Amino acid sequence: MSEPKSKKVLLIGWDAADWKIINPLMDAGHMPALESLVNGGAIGNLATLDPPMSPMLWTSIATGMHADKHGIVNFTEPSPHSGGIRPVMGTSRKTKAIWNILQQNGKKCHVVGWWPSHPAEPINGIMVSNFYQRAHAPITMPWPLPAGTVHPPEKMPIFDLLRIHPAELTEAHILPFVPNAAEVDQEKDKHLESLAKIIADCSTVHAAATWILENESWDFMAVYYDAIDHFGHGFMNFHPPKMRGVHKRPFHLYNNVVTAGYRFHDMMLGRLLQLAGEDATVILVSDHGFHSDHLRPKGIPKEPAGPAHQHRPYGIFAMKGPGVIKDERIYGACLLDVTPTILSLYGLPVGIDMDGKPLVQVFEQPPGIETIPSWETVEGDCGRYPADIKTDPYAEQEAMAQLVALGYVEAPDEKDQKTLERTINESQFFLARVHMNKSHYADALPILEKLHRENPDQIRYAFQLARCHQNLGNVYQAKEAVKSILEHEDKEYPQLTLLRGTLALADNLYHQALEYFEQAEKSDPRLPSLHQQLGLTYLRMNKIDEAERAYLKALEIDPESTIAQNGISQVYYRQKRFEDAAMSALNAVSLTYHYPMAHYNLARALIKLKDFERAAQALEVVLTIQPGQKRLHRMLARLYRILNDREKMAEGISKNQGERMITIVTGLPRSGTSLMMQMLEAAGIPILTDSVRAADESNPRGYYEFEKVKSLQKDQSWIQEADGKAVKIIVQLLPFLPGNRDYRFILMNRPIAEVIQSQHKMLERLGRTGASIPLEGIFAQQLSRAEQWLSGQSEVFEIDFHALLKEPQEQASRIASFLKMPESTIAMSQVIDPTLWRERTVP
Amino acid sequence: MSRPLKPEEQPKLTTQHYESYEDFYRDIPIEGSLGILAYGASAVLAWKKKRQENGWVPPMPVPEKPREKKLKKDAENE
Repeated sequence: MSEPKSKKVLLIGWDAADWKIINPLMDAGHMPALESLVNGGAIGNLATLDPPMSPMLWTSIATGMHADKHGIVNFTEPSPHSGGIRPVMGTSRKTKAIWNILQQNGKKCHVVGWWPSHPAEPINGIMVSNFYQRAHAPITMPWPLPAGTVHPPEKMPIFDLLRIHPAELTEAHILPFVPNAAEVDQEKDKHLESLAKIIADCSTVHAAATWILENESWDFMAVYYDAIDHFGHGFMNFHPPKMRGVHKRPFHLYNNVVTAGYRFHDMMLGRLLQLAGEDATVILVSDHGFHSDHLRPKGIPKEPAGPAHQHRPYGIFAMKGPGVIKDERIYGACLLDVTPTILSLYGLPVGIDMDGKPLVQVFEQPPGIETIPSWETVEGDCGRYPADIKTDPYAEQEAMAQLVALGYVEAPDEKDQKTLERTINESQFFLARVHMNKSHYADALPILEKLHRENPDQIRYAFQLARCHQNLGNVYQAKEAVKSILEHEDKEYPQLTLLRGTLALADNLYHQALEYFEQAEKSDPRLPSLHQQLGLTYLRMNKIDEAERAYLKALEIDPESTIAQNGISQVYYRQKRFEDAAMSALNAVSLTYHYPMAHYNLARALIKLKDFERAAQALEVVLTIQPGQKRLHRMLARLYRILNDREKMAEGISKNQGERMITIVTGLPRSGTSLMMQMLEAAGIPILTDSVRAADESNPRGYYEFEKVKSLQKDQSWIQEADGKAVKIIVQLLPFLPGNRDYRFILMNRPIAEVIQSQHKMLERLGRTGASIPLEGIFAQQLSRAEQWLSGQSEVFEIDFHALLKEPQEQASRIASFLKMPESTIAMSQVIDPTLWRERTVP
Repeated sequence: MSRPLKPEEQPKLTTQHYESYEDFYRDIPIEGSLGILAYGASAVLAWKKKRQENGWVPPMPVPEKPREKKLKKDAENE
């Protein structure tokens, strides 16, 4: 354990808080408490994750993990008892939160309002769940706290008393938000009522948090306020400047609500800072931002979680405390980094299974970061729920469905059933988006395929499926998904046109892509990502000036677009403006650290600027985020050679031997590829084969084929099955291999005349007739094209079929050396049986 | 605010109560203002106690309209 930086940490969550609104308010002196935090500490953007759904994101903040690990993927979940649905519960979280880990390390922890945290966990301090603040009855009726809201339960009476009901608020509370409230006809306009609920809810949370700080000892405290998000969804459309389409009257009445909401939060923050004291480290974060300017969407899609379209991808990060840098910006922070950073504050190791990293740049003296494989396996009381109340609601729902099928339980009524199915589908959909957000497209694909198959009318599923296929390089399938959208959609809409353009671009049909983009531009000239795609198309067409214009336009619309910053970096690189290229790439990584392409572009520009050390650092980051890219390992090894760092150089080279390397055995059909597959099998390399084609007289030892290879030009989705294995692919299909894998190729050379003779014999044995024209010319042409394609690959080994049969041991040794498996020479040579060489053209 | 104010009750609710937004930051705690809520637990408890001593009664909810009542009943039945 390294030296702790802090004894106390106060983590404050402001859902949806955004610097774009805060900065002008601080400049005007309207947020003095936050200004003191900013001036005395470190601030920065906090990149969010996709999908930007608050319960998922706040759980990622509290665990340092993506949702596929922590298990909170939706606002609602199946209710194991009712057969219907319920709000997502804390019991569904699969991993430890920061407070569980800290408790195990002797820290006293309190948590208020975290989403989701109901029922309250039995931690060593106080936990007030996210079911605490809602007023679910009129003030004249009993308003009991739901069971499980407060831990320990004996504290319930005081927390009951601290609650504020919306009906308790007066004009003194409302007028700062709506100065002209007197003009509101509340019979028709319910905005004041919803405003009162938001103020009462967040005041209740704040009262609970301040009570704990006023009355209890503490080491760690986390408190979550959701009001800024609610102010945004309810009132951002009335925030100045006035949006087109918003009527004058509601704008006149409610244009101050969002501003007042932030100022109220600043007042609450002031009190929290006062209670925390100077010796505490205070961290203020938001899970995402909120569009407040010209990027506000004109409408909200009518779909589950549709309001999330108003969210901006950058939340806020501010941190102040002993040992923290002062009045400085940090870059590249992501909400996954919050928990690892708090662990390093306490001098505790970070879980290797965590997806975030400690933000070491916030410390005046960066701490040494220790790691632990996982906190999940560390034994001891961590204040989690007892095993009997922890649930996997999806597994429980499956079990319930089985009981219904067996007749032990009554089936839920039709309406409940439909709601349940919708919830399960949406949760799966969000999980697929989590995988896509991690660039794990192969994991997202089967989920999206199933959703699309079962719900062909759901455009969102088909749309994401198309995007997923596109990222896997399956352009054909992506287009099929788009076709299915068009079957269910009456009219083309800009996002779909944009997608069709990107697919045309993936097919290298540049002019068609431009047509689609121009069509989309006519419908919505400020469509996010449109100008980025235009820029990319022009870059591919080598029209650098047009690409520059397109990317600059994208940046004019949204200066915080990571993709546009990265795109303009590529433009500047091509224009040989290397300093500008490096600066734009730096801007991109400052906005989104987990964006390997921008680190790569930064490295490229830095190499041109002869700043090899920083270039190597940038490449190291790329390889940390996306390991196993041989070309980059080689590039890195070259850089370390220049820097004369032998140890790192060796490391770079050794990483080159990726465990997921696919060995492709290729050649013309009947050129000895099956023999080579037998040799690789003998060497111990796993073989990708389905044995659909059984051994016969033509190939007595089997064909070693994999059926799906035959449709490689249409479907590449199976390629991940080949990771770490050997697979046979004829030369004609090589150009269809997706580019997102590491390959090494063994090309079998056999005289074409002999190949054709062998093919004829095989056809005879099968009782079929072959082509009626001579094939030598066309085969030679195809082979030549394949050789040209292979010349662009880094690891290719050619083997002569005749030599292999004549000198088995010598050739096996060469192959073993290529495979870096010298020990397998004998095993491979023993497989070779010259008696099977039947169609000889040479003696 | 769950009791909607009738229009004839509303004219006195104007910005004159808050001549400037700096009123937002009047000394904390202030009786009945946002300042109490922002100060947190001790101020809220004191405010509630004093209010009770002054004989405060919670505002009556506005009676629901027949149609709203029917919709609510339907929802409950479902």
